[in-house]
Amino acid sequence: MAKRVLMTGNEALGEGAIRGGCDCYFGYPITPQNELTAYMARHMPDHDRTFIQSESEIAAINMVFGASVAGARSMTSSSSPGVSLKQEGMSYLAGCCLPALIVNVMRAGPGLGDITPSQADYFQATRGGGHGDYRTVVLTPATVQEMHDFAAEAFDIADRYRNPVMILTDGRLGQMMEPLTLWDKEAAPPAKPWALTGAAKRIKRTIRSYYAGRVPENNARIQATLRKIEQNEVRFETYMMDDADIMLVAFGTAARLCRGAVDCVRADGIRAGLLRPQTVWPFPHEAIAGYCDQLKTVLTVEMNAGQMVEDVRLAVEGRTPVRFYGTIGGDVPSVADVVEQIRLLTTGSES
Amino acid sequence: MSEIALYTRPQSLEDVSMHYCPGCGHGIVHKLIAELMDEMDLRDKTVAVAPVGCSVIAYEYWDVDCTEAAHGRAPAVATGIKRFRPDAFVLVYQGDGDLASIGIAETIYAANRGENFTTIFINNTIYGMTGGQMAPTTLPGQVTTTSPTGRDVATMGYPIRMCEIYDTLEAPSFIARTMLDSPGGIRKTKTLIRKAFEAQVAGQGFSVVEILSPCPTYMRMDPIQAMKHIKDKVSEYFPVKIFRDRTAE
Amino acid sequence: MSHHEVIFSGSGGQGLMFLGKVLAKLALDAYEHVTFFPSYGAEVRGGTSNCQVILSATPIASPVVEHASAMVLMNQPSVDRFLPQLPAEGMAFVNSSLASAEGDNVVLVPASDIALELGDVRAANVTIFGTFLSQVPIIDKAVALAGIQAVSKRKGDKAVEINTRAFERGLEFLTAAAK
Repeated sequence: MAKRVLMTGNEALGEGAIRGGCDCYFGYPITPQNELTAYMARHMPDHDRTFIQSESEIAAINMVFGASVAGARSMTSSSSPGVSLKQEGMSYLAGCCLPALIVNVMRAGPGLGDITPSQADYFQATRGGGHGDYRTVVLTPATVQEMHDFAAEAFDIADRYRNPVMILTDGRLGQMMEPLTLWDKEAAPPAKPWALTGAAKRIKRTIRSYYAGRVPENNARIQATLRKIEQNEVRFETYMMDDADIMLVAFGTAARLCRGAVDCVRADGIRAGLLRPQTVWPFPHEAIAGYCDQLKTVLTVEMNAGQMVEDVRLAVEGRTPVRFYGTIGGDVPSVADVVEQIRLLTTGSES
Repeated sequence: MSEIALYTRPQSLEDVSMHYCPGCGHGIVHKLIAELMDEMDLRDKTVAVAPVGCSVIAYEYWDVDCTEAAHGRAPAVATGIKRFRPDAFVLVYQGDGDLASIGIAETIYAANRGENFTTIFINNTIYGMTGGQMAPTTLPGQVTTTSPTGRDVATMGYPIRMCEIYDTLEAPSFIARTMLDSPGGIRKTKTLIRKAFEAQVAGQGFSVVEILSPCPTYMRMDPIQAMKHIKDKVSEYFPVKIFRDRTAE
Repeated sequence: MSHHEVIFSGSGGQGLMFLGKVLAKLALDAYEHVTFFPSYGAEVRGGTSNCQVILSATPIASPVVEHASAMVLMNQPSVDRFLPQLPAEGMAFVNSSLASAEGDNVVLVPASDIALELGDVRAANVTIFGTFLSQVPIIDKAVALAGIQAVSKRKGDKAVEINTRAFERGLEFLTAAAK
């Protein structure tokens, strides 16, 4: 087994992106993702790649746009308030069919909120976020190892579909350290016969989302890509689901807590299991629906006021009761809190 | 007897009709840029950035690789392009609303970093594409749809002089303001754009040419009057000159 | 059971993050799962600076300690904040030079005084870490000393020497006190 190293989630993500072939990083300071920007400032020049601290999050996402236009693997990172500012740029990336990686290390909102970890940007991340009909592939790591691996893989996904990819994580995963094995596959960016390189010996290329009178054609192309992504890129992991009659659904930090809670209640004979989406768009609708017949209850656990639970309900389509437990405003539940919620469900169903 | 072509369409300009209003300055500047691309052999390595504004579809007129940019963000987009492809010739084309209002942060910071691209800044003192609203460069007293009784500097502020602001920064290599007021002004404009292009080719860093340009439609004048207005009124507020030229260094 | 949850807390500059990172890093070979979680942001700039380390044979649900096996508390605000959460089976190591605390499972170590005596008050963290490892042997003591020496090297030979003596004094503190 390769040697393990200890890194913060933010740094592991940065190293993963570098190993995944990130050519250009553009970012603006905001807590709790600053270790990532600092990591890229230290290490991108070692690899002869571009790092710029931009004048704003808006400038950063538009630099990402420009680098992507030119054929680069480019990325930016921020935290919730900063990611709100990037939404315009993300809409343009999607409208122009450009690959890019955007990292959101979520903190509490709305507004300035707090720097404490949160999952309250789920709607923004999974519904496109900016204006127009589009979606972003949204990867949701739950360990520092996944922060690293997903960052390395994100560029392949983005390039494969020419669509932006987001890593949606939170301040706790960003700040904590865990051991990981470093990504050792060689980055292999595909040829980009659409990139702007100067039109020597060929006809000119244009990158645009403005198609007066012809937007339906462009949007149909985008929608066809999104259907392909839905078919190919759904990722999730299950834990103790074989005989479960209570299914927890949670992602990221909340999913770790749920796994711990499943272990606790299993010791008491409660048959709980966990389904953990590793992509929240595309969402594992079918996988969740597939368990309905064996379930008494679904419990969705989130660090927000109830966002992913709407997708869970869409997947379940009324076949199983769907309950929600969440903490708001930057509070993070403890394992004991989740255990208590599961116990309440079982006593509730017996009475 | 053989024919001698005294004038031909530049190779880098597409053979299509432009959508601009009669007397608009955009078409003139597009042509000057295309002529220089031909003369300086830049067409094959150009990556251009089109703005949001009347020239939003500039990519339909130049025969070069070109991308759109969100309103005001062209300098950031150009930064990303140029940093990844330092050998490309990167051309940014922006109007006054794009460059001096919504995108002023990107404008200042790209210039301040000395990003090695060239900005052609069309200042016609108006928002044309959206129907004649007040621009950051609209003159005091000028009537627009959003300053219907004329720009009142007491509540709407003064027109912003961008070259003077650029000139406070250390990094830019070439800063000039010119005007499309006459055939002589057009020739002078071409000379200055050439210098700005040369600065980029020589790797001297950020270069910009601000062009006072006619918008007869929203200046509510005929084309001749609009050019005269530029000379008499617009250039009075926005002095035409070379602010900085490091191309000789 | 091979599962340990440790809280290190003190004021900024007392080297608690350092201890937590050293412990987490040195535990990589002995434990499949390791987490290190720092307090950060505004919290760091006033009051207590703390970090939490969990070592386990099984996946760690939360990097935030819920059942502390041990605490290293370097100042009074840390004692006031964390000691009430100490389970009956846990142990707390309190820097009695700067804080007071009571309890059956509280070990008082005048770490700052010992470090001052050795020539550098900043070695208080390593001193109390020695005492902590003497009672809670979650990683090998020789490995711990080698790790501390390796990190101290960046600050010069003097730092290595003082930290080595501080660690050894801490390690022997309870047996020496019992004599």
